[in-house]
Amino acid sequence: MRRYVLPVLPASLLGSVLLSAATGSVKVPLESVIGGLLGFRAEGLAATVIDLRLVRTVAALASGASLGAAGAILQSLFRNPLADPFVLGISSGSSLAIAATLIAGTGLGLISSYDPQALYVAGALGALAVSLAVVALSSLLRSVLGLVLVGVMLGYLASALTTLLVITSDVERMRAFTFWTLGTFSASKWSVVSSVLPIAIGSLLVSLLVAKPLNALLFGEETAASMGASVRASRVGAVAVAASLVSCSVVVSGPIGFIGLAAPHAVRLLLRTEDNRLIVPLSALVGAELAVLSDVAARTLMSPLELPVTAVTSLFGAPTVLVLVMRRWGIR
Amino acid sequence: MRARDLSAGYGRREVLTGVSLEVEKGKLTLVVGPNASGKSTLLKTLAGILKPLGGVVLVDGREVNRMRGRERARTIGAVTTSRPQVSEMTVEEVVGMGRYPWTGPFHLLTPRDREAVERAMEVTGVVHLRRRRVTELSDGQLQRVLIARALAQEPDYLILDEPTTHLDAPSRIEVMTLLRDLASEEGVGVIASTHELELALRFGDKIVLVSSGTVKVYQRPEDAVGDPEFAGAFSVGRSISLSPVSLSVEVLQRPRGDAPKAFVVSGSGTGPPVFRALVRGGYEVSAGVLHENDIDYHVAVSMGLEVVSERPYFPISEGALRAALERASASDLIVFTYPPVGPLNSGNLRLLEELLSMGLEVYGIGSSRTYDVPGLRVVGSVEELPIAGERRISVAPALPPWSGTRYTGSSPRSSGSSRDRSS
Amino acid sequence: MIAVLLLGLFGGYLAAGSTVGAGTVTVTREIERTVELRTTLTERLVQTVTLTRELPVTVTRTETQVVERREPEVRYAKLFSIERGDGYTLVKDGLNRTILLVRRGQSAPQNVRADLVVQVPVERAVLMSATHVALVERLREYSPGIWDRVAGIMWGRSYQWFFPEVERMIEEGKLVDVGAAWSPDYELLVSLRPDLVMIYTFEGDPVRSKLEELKVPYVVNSEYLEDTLLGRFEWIKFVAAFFGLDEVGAEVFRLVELRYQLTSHKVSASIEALDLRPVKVAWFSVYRGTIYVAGGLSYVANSIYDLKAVYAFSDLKVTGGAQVSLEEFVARASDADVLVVSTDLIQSLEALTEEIPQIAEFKAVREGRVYRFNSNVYQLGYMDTEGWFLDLASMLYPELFPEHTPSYFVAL
Repeated sequence: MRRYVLPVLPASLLGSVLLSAATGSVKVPLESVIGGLLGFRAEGLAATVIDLRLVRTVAALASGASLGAAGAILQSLFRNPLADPFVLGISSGSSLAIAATLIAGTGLGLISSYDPQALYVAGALGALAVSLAVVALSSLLRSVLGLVLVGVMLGYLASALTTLLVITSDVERMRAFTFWTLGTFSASKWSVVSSVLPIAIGSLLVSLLVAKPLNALLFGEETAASMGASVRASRVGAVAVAASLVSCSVVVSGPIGFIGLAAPHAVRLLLRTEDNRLIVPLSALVGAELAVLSDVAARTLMSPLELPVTAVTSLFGAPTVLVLVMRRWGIR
Repeated sequence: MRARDLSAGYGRREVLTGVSLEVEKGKLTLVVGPNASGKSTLLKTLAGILKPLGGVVLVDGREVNRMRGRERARTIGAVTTSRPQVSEMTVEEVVGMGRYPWTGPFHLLTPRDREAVERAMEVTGVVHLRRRRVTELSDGQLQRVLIARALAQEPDYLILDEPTTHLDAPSRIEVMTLLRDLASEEGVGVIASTHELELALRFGDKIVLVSSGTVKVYQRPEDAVGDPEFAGAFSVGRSISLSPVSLSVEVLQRPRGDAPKAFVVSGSGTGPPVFRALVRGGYEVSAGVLHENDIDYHVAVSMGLEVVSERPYFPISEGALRAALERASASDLIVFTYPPVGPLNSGNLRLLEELLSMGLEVYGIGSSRTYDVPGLRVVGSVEELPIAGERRISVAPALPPWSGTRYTGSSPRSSGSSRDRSS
Repeated sequence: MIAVLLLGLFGGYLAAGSTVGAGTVTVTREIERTVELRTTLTERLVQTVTLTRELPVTVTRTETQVVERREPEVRYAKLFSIERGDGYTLVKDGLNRTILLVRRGQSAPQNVRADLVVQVPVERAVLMSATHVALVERLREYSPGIWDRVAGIMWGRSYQWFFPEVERMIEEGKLVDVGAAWSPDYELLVSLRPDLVMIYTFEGDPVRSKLEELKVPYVVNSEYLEDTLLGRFEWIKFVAAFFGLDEVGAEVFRLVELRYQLTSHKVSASIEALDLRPVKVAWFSVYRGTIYVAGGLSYVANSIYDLKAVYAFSDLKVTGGAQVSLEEFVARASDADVLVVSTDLIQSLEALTEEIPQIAEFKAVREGRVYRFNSNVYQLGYMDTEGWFLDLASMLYPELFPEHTPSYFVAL
């Protein structure tokens, strides 16, 4: 199984990128699309349209890869198959911080409209805060369901605070923001994507380094310590990397749910492995692909109306959660 | 590895104090003690998993607590009771994780690493399982794999917390044998805790007793057996004893004041099952005549039975016979176990003759006898004896009378008929 | 200045005199140059420079002439402005961007700086809001082919149409639906090659930044932020300018302004003549137990003041809406003569009482003077602003408008 899967994954990712570039409300000939991907600029309208699709695709790749890797790290860290940035409320915490920064910052004139760097920092701090809260509370609640409940609580809290912030502004802003809180690639801009991309890539590389200690932690904290792993440093490092990745994703697209949940499970199913050195990077790959395909669905299913991405990811995400919870309960 | 005036515990809670012991390379040290006495705490503190609350743990002069993780992992390997959540990992991968303190940030294995992994798997005998997934292993196999994992660290010392608990009997012996070989053949300093007292006494080079908040170190298992404090740590009110010869645990007989008396005539190992059954049955048991080099003698003594004995290699004397006769005739139940009889103990047959002639009833455990003694009431097995009021009678097959060497004294009855009473 | 002039002339005369006295001949040369300094809303500044060269004296005379004084073109709206130049128009939109409108075929003037240049009338406009559509619909009466100049609307099926023509055109594909306003289909939008996209926006608006990135020409219509009714409607001049219907826009607005003024005059005159009691109004909406009221500086409140009525929350110094507590609301609105519920989601008195049980005891409820928004208020009510105002007047003073039933409000 492993032999076939490893080359197939990148190939299908390329395929989905091609699909994304070739799909849309305006018909563009395939040659122009392929040319556009390879760097040849097409003519007039085709160029603009391909560029529009390209920026969305790159945004989806960055956001999806970040979420996939973050989900893999969180699931290993919390020893919980239901861990996912959205489910654990980390995405909500991130978007709360970003909303507060946007609304307060522009109101006070600190930042001009959508400044990606400033928002990344805010988002990372928000994600970190919620992650640490989950870690602290998870030691009190060791069960699978308990962790999910904690995440849902924190998620609701963050959403409520966000709504409070937004509700004081006008109706139009509320509507736009509500749409954003469910994730979208529609307003992806090169300026944002190109600022966040290096941070995302950096964080993904660091996530590879976290894999070895995460593997040790699978044996239990005491055994991991006896093997020479520094347990506390590894936990903090893993949480920090996950928070950074989640923030990258939220800045680019707003919070998207279930990709962080489904990608690692898909990898585990395909490869039948527990080795984080494989799971983390491959979850990034699968997450990127899921994001690209979800984006294509979001903009074509009800064209010209665009669906929020989480609406699409819920289609595979919600059943996944159900199956996982039932399996746990079934064993009990 | 040396612990000096060590205090061990969790947080503020001290579990053990004043611990000083040494784990020597090439020796197997086994830690025993009643439940919750602090065995795990001690081992985790030695391994550096727990911080000492006082005192110090040293390895080759360096403080274990101060060592950096990698360095410590290369010196000390630990196997705890936790089961890893690695259901999908293969055995080879699990053992490979043991190279953690030797590999780089991506845990890529060099040929040297692979060598160590191979060795670890060979020594623990799990090479043939290398591609199996952890979920497919039996408990015994898993335990060996986890030990292999610790071995892959190539440590000088190996610390194991209850490696044999939850294993079936053959696996326990397997693991213990492995630990002993690791010590004696690989030169690793092994220290492990176990609930199996007898295994500990048999396999260990050194015994450490953990109880009442401190430890006592015995340089030889025999020292432990001979120390009444040792047995006392395990029993409530002195209900067991340890036989220094057999290194086995025996239940002391504690008869009630009005308990019926039993007298057993046995030898060469036929006695102990009967002793134990009768003691369980509530009898106050005595035995005789037993030679002091007979195993039945040792067991009887361990069990606290009154024994009429004879010096080794001397035929049973008149005095001994008389004493035995006195005892037996005062008993409510007399049992004969058909031991092998030779010139030195044929006196026991005369004893039986005398008892029968006095009109006393003598039971014989007939299931594995090779000769017959006329006049005995033969039952098939120990269970059929009138244990504390129960009477169970069964048919016992007839056997030819004993035809052993004659002895000086009276001649044995040797008639073709056996007067078995059967119903 | 005259003193300097005289001094100069005197000095020149002296010099000339002395020179003449000396027996030399001086030549006096006068060069006049006129420079137009700037044209503002109210005046055109012209500088005339006269250079008199008479050795050795040079006299400079500066005169400022006020050539023309005109009325500002935009009189009620505060968030946009229009300036007329020679063959061009300068418009400032809701974000204070300068847009230069040039008639098709003519070249843009050289020394005018602008953020955006638009050739008018536009031929492929895209509109973001139904309110923009309402204004275009109003203009259609005088320019039947106006919709030919609009390529698309950001609708996304997000609301119901009260303009059957528009709905028909979308169904037939004559107008392209480019998706919801908060997330339009940019591909579709770009493929329409719009020469103008009319949007409303806010800080951090991702749509606007995306349009910037795509270099799509857009203008910001902020009519909904105006604090007077006529100010809101005056944006018809803004819309008209892009469709080359400047005069039409001005005339329509004059008509609406006139009707507005007549209605308010009628009311104030009648109040005086008939010695009517001041009417107290409360304007609010309620959602899940939370009560929002129009601010005391909002267009709603100002309309009410123009009708000589009292607004229950006039001391709330905001131009938008505000949330008030139940106690506040009950204290202020319980004795209001008229209640207006600014939503169409509450459709009966029972529903209203369910949200606010105390309201059953309010004066307006007991006297049956409670109204709610009709669903068409945002589209038709805006297009027919004078009608909206008349509706309001008739709700406040039914005795003065006995024949009139409101079109944009519904009695509960």
